Amino acid sequence: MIPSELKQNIDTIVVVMMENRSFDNVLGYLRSPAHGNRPDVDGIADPNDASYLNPNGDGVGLAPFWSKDGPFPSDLPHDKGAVAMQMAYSQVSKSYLMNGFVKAFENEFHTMLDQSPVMGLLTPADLPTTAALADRYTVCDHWFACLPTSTSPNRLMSMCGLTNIDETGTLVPDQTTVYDWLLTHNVRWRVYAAGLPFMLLMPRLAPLMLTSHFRRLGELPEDLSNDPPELRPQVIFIEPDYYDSPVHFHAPCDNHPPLAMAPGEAFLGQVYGWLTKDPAQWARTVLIVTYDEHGGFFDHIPPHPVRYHNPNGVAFESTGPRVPTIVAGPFAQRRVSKTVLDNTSILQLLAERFGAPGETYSAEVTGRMQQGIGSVSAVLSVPAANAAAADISVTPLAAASADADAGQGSSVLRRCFDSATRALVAQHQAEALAKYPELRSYLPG
Amino acid sequence: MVSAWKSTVGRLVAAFALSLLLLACSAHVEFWASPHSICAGQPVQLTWKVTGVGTLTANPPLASLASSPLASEGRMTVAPNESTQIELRATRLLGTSTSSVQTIHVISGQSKVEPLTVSLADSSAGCGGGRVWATVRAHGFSTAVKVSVVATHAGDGRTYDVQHGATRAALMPGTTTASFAGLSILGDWAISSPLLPGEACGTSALPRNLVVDVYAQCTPEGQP
Repeated sequence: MIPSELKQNIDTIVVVMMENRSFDNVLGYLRSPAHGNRPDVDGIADPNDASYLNPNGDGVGLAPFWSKDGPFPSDLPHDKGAVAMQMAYSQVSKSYLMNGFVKAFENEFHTMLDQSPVMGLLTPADLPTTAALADRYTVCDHWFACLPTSTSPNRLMSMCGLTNIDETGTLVPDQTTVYDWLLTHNVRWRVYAAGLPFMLLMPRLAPLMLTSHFRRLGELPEDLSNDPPELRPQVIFIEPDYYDSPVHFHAPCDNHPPLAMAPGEAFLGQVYGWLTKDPAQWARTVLIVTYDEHGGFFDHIPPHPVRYHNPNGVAFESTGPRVPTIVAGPFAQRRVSKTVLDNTSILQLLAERFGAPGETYSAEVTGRMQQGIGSVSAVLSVPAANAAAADISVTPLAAASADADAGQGSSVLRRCFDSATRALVAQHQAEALAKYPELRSYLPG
Repeated sequence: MVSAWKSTVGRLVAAFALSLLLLACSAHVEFWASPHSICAGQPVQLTWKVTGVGTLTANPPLASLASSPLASEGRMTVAPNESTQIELRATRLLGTSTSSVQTIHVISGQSKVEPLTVSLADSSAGCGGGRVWATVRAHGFSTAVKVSVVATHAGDGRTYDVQHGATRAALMPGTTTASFAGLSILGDWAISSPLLPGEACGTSALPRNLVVDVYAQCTPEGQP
């Protein structure tokens, strides 16, 4: 779609960003004759293909394998160093070989298994929502994580178009975000979060969480029904309940290992059901379901060469591995898009839809476009006429138990969430507890 | 004076609290088994270094692991008669735990296929003179685990030249060779392959891995 078509046809852009899965882990099945039988998708036709073997520390190659959904014993390695090992740059072929996933796992956990969890491939039987969406809308099989590193830099790229950190640490730096861009451009926007929103981690934005821009997920269906057209948000970010959050409003459902996919599938199914309930609204909506990064899971497609160097010393020469992304809505045909995209492609879509004629999102996003990263607009087409909603039947997302955070370890991101939540309650106690009574455990004393 | 005493006590309390925090949060487990592939009843050395209280369990069980809990560092020898997974779980102060799993293969009966694989990202890899090469360092095999035959991997259309110890053999696509029969799998396997049409050094057209399937077996004493 060209910008004028976006402006004429799209009222609402909805973005759901899940956590830590690779394309092959979630959607690789589409290529398999046994599970998806779609030769047009760059997935896994035959897991035993020699080029997919990942040597372990003993010199034995491990193949990807069809796995069942279920919780993992732990998170998987996906920090900057681990991702470099996974992508395995070869001086001999001057390319990334994508065969270091098993070694990175063994190095991190001193665990040697015949079937390494990083090589697992899910099947549609365990993906009731994702498989149904993939069967109805556009599968983007060249959508990459922005950077070959962990959550925070990738989420910053997704929400800002740039990052001043190259690794997830205990602090998310203050940067200009897409929320600022939308406010500047007088675009109505909201965040609906199933738990604590990610941008709580950015100290400057924490007070914004207490405004009407940020709502609880459960308010979404009512708002969709009741908001008059002139007040409806034009951009909606829907956030899962993050595994790494120390407080849960629902069961964690972001698909971040060690979580299974089932809660995330329920979350996505519920959101899709709400968005499609009113055919007239859905007819002018684009839904993008994507992931922040690959989370340590095997993917066989090398990253796209995009040089990203910024004045703060963040330096990468490529994107990260692919992430599973589906663009849904009446303007997204049932097909596969080969356009090279990453999460900054969403920012460029916003600029094309809501910006002035010819406006790009930012110099950084333009820099990525000049290196081959497209806009989501390339995926959409007016004649798609794909208005009928998919029939998805999933169990509703469960409310969290009284203390659902027990036993979830002490990841860097969790500590980051913990200190940010403590700061929010300390600085805005009354408003924070009124809006999020689940935070009462953070009251001093 | 009182203030200095209070300051000292304060520092001690802070140090103690920090120690508790570190004990509670640190998640360090190092655990290795060597070798990973053995003939029945052969010794496997387990080596570990953990924080917190470590326990070892095996599935299927191994009677020799009954001595848990473990010292923070140590080693132990086990001798499984069947394939088993050994888990070391370290439980820390606040009850959270971290585990590491090592799989021990006991080779018996039919030979077991081991796709010896080396990535072209390995430091041993090279390309030139119309060939690509690399060396698989086959760790983790007991010296008693022998080769029965070597074959090309299913679907792999490459021709290989394979050298292991003093033995060398050519391997055409879809074929097997008995040239290495009776040799221990352990050690270096130098593999090279002529470039295929369309492949060129320094390009992504090269294969990602060089792979040969080695069939492992255990044979009675005195037999090849």
